Amino acid sequence: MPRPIIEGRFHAGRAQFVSKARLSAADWLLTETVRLHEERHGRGGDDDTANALARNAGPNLTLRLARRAAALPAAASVRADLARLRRLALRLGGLVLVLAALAGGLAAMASTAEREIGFLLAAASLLALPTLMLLIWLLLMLLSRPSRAAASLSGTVVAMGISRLGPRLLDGPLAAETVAASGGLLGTAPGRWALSAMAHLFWVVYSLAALVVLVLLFSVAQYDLSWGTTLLSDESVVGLISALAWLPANLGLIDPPRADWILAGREGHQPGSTRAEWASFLLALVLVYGLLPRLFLAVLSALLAFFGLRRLHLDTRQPGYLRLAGVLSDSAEVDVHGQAPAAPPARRRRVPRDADGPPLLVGMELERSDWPVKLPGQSWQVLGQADTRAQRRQLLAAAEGFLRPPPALIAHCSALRTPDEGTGRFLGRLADAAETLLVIWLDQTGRLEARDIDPRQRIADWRSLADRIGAALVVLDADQPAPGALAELTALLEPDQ
Amino acid sequence: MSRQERKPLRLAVVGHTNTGKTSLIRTLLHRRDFGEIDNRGGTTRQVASAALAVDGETLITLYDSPGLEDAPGLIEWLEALPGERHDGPDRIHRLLTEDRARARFDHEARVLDLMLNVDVALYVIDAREPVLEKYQDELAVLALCARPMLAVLNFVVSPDSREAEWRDALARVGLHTVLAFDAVVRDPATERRLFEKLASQLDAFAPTLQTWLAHREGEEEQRLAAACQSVAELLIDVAAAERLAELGAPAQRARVMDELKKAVRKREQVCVATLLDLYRFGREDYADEDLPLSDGRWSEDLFDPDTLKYHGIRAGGHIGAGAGAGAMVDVATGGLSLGTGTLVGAAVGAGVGLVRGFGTRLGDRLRGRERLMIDDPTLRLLAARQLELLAGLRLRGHASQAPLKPAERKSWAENKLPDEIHVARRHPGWSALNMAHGSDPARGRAVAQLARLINRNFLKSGPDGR
Repeated sequence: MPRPIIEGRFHAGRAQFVSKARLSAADWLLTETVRLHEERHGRGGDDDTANALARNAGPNLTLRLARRAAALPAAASVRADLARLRRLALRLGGLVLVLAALAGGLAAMASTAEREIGFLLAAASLLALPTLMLLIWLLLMLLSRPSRAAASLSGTVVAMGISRLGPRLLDGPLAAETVAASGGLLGTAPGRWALSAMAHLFWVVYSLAALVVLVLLFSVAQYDLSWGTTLLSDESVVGLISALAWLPANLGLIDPPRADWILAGREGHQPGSTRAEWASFLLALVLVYGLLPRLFLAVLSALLAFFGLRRLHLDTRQPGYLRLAGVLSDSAEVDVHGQAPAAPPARRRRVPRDADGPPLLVGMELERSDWPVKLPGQSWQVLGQADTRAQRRQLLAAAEGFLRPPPALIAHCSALRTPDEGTGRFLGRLADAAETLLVIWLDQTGRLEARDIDPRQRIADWRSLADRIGAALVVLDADQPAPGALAELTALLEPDQ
Repeated sequence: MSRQERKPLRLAVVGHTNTGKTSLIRTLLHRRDFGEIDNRGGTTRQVASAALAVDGETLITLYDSPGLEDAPGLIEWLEALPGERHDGPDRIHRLLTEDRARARFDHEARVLDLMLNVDVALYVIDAREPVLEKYQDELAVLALCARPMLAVLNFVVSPDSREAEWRDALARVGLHTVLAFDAVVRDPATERRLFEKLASQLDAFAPTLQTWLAHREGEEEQRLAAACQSVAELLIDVAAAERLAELGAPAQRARVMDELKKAVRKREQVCVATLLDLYRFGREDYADEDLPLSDGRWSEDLFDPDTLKYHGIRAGGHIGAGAGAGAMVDVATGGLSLGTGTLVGAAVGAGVGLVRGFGTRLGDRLRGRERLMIDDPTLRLLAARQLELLAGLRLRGHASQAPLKPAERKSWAENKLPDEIHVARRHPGWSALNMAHGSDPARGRAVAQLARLINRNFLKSGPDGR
């Protein structure tokens, strides 16, 4: 069994179109920034090195695109801009949280403006707004388009802050696209979770600030907490308060309130001894209904954002990415198998000393109906055409039959044919048989040009074949014989001085 | 069939020197950089292979082979061989194991060695060549390898093509599976026919070939979608582009206009480059292709009135023609001066956006500035040109034969421009030419909508609908 010579492979890397690879937020942002820039301003001419590096970066297009972006000359400035944006986002987030603390503290102070506190009123003023915002957030998360980045006020502040303030802070050449890519990041699912985490954190801080202020105030001043109603019956209020107390009581924060204890807190009664218990009850309500749900959601959103941002999906169907698929797929690796055959020594053939008679003419795969064509000032003995193996055998026999060698053997060849070893070998054998000079007359270069092929390359190939078999080459289009070429042919046929 | 069991189809591309074997492989791969190529004979000196893979699984392995150069000599050598004459593969083995023969027929030995190790072969023929005996000798030698073979006629679009002669000659040696496949023409339909013919010849590999065809079609759709998106982005960017100029400062106004024109030309070139990249042209590759480009660019200037005329677009449109064809329109003065107000309303769009637009423009006016934008005819021209290029790219080399259908051309030249373009006119923030920073989701939706529109029109009048 012969050894198979199937070696050398390259993969066109079709797998790249269904990439499952993920990128970290930093890589994703950089890659997207580069895409947006190239979609707007075109690929720079400076990406050859980056492309070459990218081709080795991994098996799929996503990783290669990320690597390419990282290797581009602009990457450093984009990274610096991204770091600035990140700082800006953190500062905006910090600012929002400070505002949250202020708002929470103010809400607590407002609800404790008087020493006589309406319990239900205070609870409502501290809890109504956060609860309402929570419901709005839920609705927006469920109903709004994913591309609408922020589903909350504080998220909007951060997102808008980045898009409005970002451009003023950045100074890189790709600043506009860096900001746009960051906006795009906030529109992805992990980006939305990050903004959600921000929103929940706002209310966590709000509730925490309210709690701290309440604890401080309750510690240093004496408040009387009582409840009252104008429309409802006392029983309904007792039911309401019991229901509110159910969760804190079950969490062990307060004792389950008894009906008579609640009724004792009715406005106008003398609460006195139960003052501390009512204050703890209010604190527990803020903790359980204001702080805890938001804390839970903040942690959940933060976790989702944290893990999501570490493995972002790149949409490689974007034109800016898809156009690079070709450049970034592996280049061909061609293994050379074996050595090229050693060329036989090219013996320079000459006009024999004892030459006699006219030169011989042989036609090779010419397709000329007018063959043998006449050339001004040239005469020859026509030996025949060599299109088939039978003709070639006859020609070889005829060439051996001369008593004295002819001065030359002219092989009339067509430039339309690609020179091949078969032709070369035959002509060499024929000239050997006739023991004379071999001249390759290359015809039909005009028709080759008509096929939109540059004749210079074809002539060079024929010249290299002629050199390998020790022949002389004359390029002479019989339809438009150039005087120079005719003279060249005549000179070749002159015996050596 | 489970994935693990599926063996890749091994496909050899063989033929005489310089018939376009490597070009064919490049076309099948959609890669222009496979191998080295020119019009010289015997360029490929050794066997090289390339994989057509889906999801990392190689479905088909293509083998490029050196050209056959001396089949007549080979036939004579084989005829001189004593012994059993009917077992073709056995005779080929004997040739391959004989050192002197291997040395003498180096190219041919590599090809025959390859032939014995593949599932199917494509015999590539330069259809401009006469049916010479040496080519028939090649077919005879290859037939000895006893592998299924499919003849591929290359260069059939050439005026010198002798397709009929070749089909006749191939039928005479029992080779009836013949396909005209111009390797330099990128035509998805012919490519599909090639794989379908292979599937009909190779039952065992039919599922593999079907998988590959489905993958290719998916890719083609993705490519077209990306190309349409690219054109849509261009149109939105240009429609929303604007520049402010001082009122009553003609020199400065002219400079601003020039600057905007330059930006638009550059933006168009970005789109052209993207389309060329998408359809996998090397940057140097399209010089002699039959695309309406020269050197990868549109040769006629976007703002030349003759270009408009050539594309059948009426200059001026429903906006004042005062500034000349393809010129900027002074929307600010238009909005306030007599008569043209309604025209601008039509151009800018109606409804809430119009009011808002007028508000800001009034503000501009009070601040002594005017707002310059690109007019409708230029947008029409931009769309028509890009779609024409895309049509040519989808059927590379046939651009002159399968240009945009007249209906498609007309729809962009004369019909009302899509709403997205009017909306974009009211959103300067949408244009990359305005140094806008934000990433407005509404822009993304408008681009997607416009891209869908282009894509739909395109499929309606695409090459498949011919």
